[in-house]
Amino acid sequence: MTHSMATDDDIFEALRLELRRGSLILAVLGQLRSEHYGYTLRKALGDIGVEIDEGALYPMLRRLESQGLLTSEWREEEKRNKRFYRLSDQGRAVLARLILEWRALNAAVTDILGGES
Amino acid sequence: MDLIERYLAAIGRNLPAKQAGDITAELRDVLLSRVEDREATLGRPLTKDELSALLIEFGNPMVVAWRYRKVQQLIGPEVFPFWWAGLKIALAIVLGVYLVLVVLAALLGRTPAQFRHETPDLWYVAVYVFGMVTLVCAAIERFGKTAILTKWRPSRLPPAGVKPRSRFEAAFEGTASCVFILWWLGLFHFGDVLPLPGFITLALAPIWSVYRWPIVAYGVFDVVVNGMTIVRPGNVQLNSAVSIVRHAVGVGLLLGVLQAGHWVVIAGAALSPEALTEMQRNFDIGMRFGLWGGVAVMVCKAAGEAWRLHQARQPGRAFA
Repeated sequence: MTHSMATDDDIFEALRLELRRGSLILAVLGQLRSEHYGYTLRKALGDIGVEIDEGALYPMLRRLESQGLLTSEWREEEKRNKRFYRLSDQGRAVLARLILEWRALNAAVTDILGGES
Repeated sequence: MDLIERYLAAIGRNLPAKQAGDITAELRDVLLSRVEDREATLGRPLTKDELSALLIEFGNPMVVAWRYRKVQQLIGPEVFPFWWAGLKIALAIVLGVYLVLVVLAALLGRTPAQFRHETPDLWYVAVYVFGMVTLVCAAIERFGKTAILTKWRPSRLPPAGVKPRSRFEAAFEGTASCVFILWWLGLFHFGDVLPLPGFITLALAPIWSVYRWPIVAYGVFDVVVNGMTIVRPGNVQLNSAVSIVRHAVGVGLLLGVLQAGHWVVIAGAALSPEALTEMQRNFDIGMRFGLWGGVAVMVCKAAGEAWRLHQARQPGRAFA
């Protein structure tokens, strides 16, 4: 039965992106408990298996900052000006709540999925 | 590196002026870090083609810039269903107006050239309506007033298993009636008596003067009934009941008009009396068929509404 031209791979990729979208914010907030500039933040996330597109990361950092969850400052490092981001106090509080939410959701989904690999 | 500066300038042109400098400064650092990484891996400076490939990979300047915008979509998923429904109703209204105008123009012997001269182009109006509906929905989306659209009451849902009359159909019919009433009252003119090709004129027979105001009253009732469906499509029982009354009144009016025997008066100095009589006879036959056709349509529609009403009144339908 064919409903459209989308292959299983296309469908999987679309669902994978949807699944990752919300968790990426959590990963970024979590990583920014210590200070990073964009490039090192992306590398740090990549090193632990959380790949994030630059086109998504930098606008996300701006948005989180405009929401008051991050603070930033320009500083010179390696002979170039870089913008360093860090979690604000408000961001820390929101992250704590999000972590609780994440853990509850994770436990519930793990329960549903049971032993499926 | 000139290419990077041109790329950043292109991004900057698509950013709000206040943020452009800050964002492009950050992106410059990102791009230069990327170039340095790539050069370290290769052990040599990047060629112009390799730098171009890196920028292409980073993204189209307009797309990159747009990701920083607060507004990412013109109409979001919450407003979209209302945009779609609103567009259908608005276009139904446009089509309704045009249908009536076309029928009137045809009945009154207007040529296609005269019709085009007297009415705006359908595509122009359709595109205008599309733009206006989109603009209103985009404004609702932009100013976060989606609650205006999404507020609803479960008690106003139609009974399950009964398909309510569509708003599209109601908008189409209601608009057609509005245009007809305006024309009937002479508030706009295609001409009450219009020349047919060359040598004859056609006028409405006296019977129409007798039924002038009953027809206006019927038209107004028709607009009200269709308006009720547009506002509360889920109120199936009431809407169907008034629709049955509407069609019954319409049938009564048509049967009354049919008693006359003549519905148009043809005149033409250039024609012989025999030719005029023959033409009058043919017009009257055509009108008789048309009027009986109208009766048949109304009876069928009344029967359809009666069936809808019957279904809506079935006990347990609401939870079927």
